[in-house]
Amino acid sequence: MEEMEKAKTKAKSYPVRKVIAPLILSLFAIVWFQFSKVYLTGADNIALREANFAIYVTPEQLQGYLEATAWTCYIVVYVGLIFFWYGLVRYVESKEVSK
Amino acid sequence: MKIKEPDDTLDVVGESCPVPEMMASKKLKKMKIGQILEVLTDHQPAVDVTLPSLCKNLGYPYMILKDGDLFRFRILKVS
Amino acid sequence: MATPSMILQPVFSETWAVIFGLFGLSGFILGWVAQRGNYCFINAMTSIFTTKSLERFGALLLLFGLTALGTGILTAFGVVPAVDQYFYNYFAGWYILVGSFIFGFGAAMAGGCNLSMLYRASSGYVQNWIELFGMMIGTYVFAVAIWPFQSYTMQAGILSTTSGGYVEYLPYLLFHSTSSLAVYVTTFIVALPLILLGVYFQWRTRNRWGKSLGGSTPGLPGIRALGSPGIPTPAETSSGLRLKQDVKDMLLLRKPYGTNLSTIILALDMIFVFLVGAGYTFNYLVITSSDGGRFFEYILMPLGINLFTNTPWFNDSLPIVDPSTLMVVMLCVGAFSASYLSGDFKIRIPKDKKRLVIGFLGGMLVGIGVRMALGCNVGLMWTNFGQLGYDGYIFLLGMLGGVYLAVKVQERL
Repeated sequence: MEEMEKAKTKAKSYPVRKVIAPLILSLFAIVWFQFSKVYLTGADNIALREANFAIYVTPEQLQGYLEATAWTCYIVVYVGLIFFWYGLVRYVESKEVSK
Repeated sequence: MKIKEPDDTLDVVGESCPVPEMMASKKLKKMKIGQILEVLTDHQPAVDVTLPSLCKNLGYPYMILKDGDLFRFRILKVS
Repeated sequence: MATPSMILQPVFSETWAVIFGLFGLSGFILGWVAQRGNYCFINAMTSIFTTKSLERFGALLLLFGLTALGTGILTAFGVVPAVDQYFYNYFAGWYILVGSFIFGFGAAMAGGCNLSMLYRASSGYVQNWIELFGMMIGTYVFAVAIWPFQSYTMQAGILSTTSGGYVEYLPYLLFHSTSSLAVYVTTFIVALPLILLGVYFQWRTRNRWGKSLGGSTPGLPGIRALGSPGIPTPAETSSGLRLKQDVKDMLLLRKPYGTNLSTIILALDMIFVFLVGAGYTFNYLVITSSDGGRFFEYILMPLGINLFTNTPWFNDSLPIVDPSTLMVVMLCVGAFSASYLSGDFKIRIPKDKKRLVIGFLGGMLVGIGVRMALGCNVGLMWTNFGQLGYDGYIFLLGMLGGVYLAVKVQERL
């Protein structure tokens, strides 16, 4: 029974994890894009230098990848921020109510 | 089933798919007829799909109680 | 007769950015639908042995059948040239059977195939994070310890075909031709039994449920007595109203997608990729090469370790990026979005810490198994049905064996 009571009070306040999670998503998208730009481009250059054509990706493909990643990351970052904002509002609201 | 206290509980909180139904079926085999097993889980698919299909196959009636983030899935062993 | 061509030519003129983008979109759909439909290949198979239910396994066969039907018809009517269907057919051999067995065992122990592992990891299941990590280590173990031997047997043709492509294309095997008619007939030979068997399995299981409920629980009015108020009991509303309500609930993410709805969307997703990637790249849904191998390689890159320069397998099998990279990343994003929006997202740690160890070891076996089999349940088994090859059948058999063993072992634990 005690557990049930606890769960009920918990359910009232908007969980913090729901506020933070979209922010992590946005950060992930930014990190992913930066990683692609710096390390994957670098790795491709190393592959070319070593003439390993099994893993080397042609410049058009790599540019295409970076372009698609950039657009995708823009979308993910903005969507993440919108959710974050929405979650923050809900969180503050639930704090006000419980006061 | 709702009022009666369960005879045995199985806590599979945090576990995902094959585990809840496998553990439940193992536990049910050891129980006596007329006893109630309560499975504690927070895995939605287990509540929606796998545990109900286990019960339907065995022909055992079941009920689901929602308790905050958790589900209490009660199964009555009938035969 | 002339040998079939092995040259890919772009079917639609798209830029690489569009291809990468659309593959990302297909990954998003895959992650979203799999999460909403709780689509799990492993569960479909464990339930055969634990609950004697063939419902989800039937859905799986239906998925394979619909995929083969879709890709086959597109090829037979010349929308996509046959070469795009068989170009990426892998080598068949002993390793597919052995690998899929190891994979099935590991995945059933750890609690997730490659698809469910990723979408559950994105929904906050710590168990699956650990499985994913185990899989990366497993891939490395495979690369160093098994791949040199395996690639030797592949080149020497020891219990293996020495090339893939049209050699393993069923229309070519059956009719010695890759003409439209051969593809058309083969499509039905492959797809119809799978679809019919799938429907039959589902029908049979549901039928038995109906019987067992009617017979053994006479005094009970409704089997599904929900405890909490606020959820309407389905019996009260009429079927038309209920359907409307169901659609609304699904759109508002209050209710998961049914198994067969997910099956159809996933089959369409595969066909979408088949069209988009035709002539450019591996035009099927694929997960494994990225989650176990590529991501492990990526994680080590900032530390200055470049596996692709010196490690076997990493240095000859894995381009630095390909459209599947973005597909897998977006799969995680899609699964996360679906679980977050439906309120299901939660970090979950199993209480029994033994499960985490099993998750890691199982993940390692998954990593080794999928690499031996040259692909996972998505990128090899499901894909290969779309390719009208026969590796998928071998994989299915091996995986069922592995899952069966795991169920038996779990019962003892």
